[in-house]
Amino acid sequence: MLGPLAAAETAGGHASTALFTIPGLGLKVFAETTTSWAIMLLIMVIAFLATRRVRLIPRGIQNLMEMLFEALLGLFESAMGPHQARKYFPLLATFFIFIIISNYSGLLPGAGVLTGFMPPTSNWSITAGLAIIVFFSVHYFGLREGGTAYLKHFIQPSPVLLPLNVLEEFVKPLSLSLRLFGNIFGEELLLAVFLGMIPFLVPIPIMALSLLFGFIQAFVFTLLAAIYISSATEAGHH
Amino acid sequence: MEIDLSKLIWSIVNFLVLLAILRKFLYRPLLGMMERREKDIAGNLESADRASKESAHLKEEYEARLREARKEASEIVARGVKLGDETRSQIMEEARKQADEYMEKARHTITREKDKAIAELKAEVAGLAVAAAGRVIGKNLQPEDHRRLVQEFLEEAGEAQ
Repeated sequence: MLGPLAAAETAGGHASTALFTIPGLGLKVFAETTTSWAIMLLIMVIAFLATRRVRLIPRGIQNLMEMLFEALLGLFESAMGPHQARKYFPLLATFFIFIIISNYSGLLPGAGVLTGFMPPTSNWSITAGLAIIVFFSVHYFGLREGGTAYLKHFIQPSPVLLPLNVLEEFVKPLSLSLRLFGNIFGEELLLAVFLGMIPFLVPIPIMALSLLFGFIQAFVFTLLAAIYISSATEAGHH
Repeated sequence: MEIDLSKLIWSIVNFLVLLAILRKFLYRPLLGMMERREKDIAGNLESADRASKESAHLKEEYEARLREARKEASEIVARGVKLGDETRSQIMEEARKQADEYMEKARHTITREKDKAIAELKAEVAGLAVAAAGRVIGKNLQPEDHRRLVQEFLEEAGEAQ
């Protein structure tokens, strides 16, 4: 019972040891990484099936995928307007798809138990990686769209606020990564505890809630990324 | 809490690889198709709108032409009727005139024939009368008497007529 909790405090996620090391690079491969690869493979297979024969009148998986795209586009448009929504769609949609599947992977039997199977978003290192991509994307797009005008928004409304503004930019990815990891890891832990106590019927409500929270966390991460990008690219235009 | 550098790097690399692949094999074809469909539908709607406008315009034009044609037709009929009327009255007039002429000519002929007949009859009657008178009197009248008698008879005959 205390095992996973104690490990979480030291590792920013479930206790884990490296499965193997890539020779030459010194990069260690953990269960989160292999699970990421499996998720990537799954997404690619779905992508392949959805685009095998792209039809003007969509059917089957293509239709499903287009419905998802329409929904995501609608969400991004509400946050950043139709033009930007289309422009940054690939980045944002990939965040959403990867995170939601990763969150839901924790509901599968064997998650966290089987060797090489650990929901990636339940580990802070993984969510931090995603947040770092958001961080660099925001500033890259901000500079690209606004140039030096983008940099001016760091000293607005007054240069005195520069440290605070800069700090805020670092707090954004920190909160993004911690929120996602904390929620998913918490769910995982709760589910593990309930499964450990009464493995029959009782965990079902928790699993149902996990479905909801898994969606909400993917939604929130993606929407916040959209809002950050939108405000950064608009900052340079004023 | 700590961050494992390997996990972090893998996370970034994995995501970027996934993004690149999906961008090329999922987003581009599907978004392209969605955009194309949107454009197609917009184009279809527009062309349908245009077609309906055009057909309305054509209908109006046809109706105007039909109205004109109807007007023209009724004008032609009216003209025909009028012409017919005129022709009829003209023919009637001519016929009447001709009939009058014939009547006149007939009357002339009749008068002439009558006069001729009367003259012939007078001559014959005179001759007969003279012959009869001669027989009654038993002798031939002198030329003067003859002439006088004839004259008297004729006058009488003329009165008797």
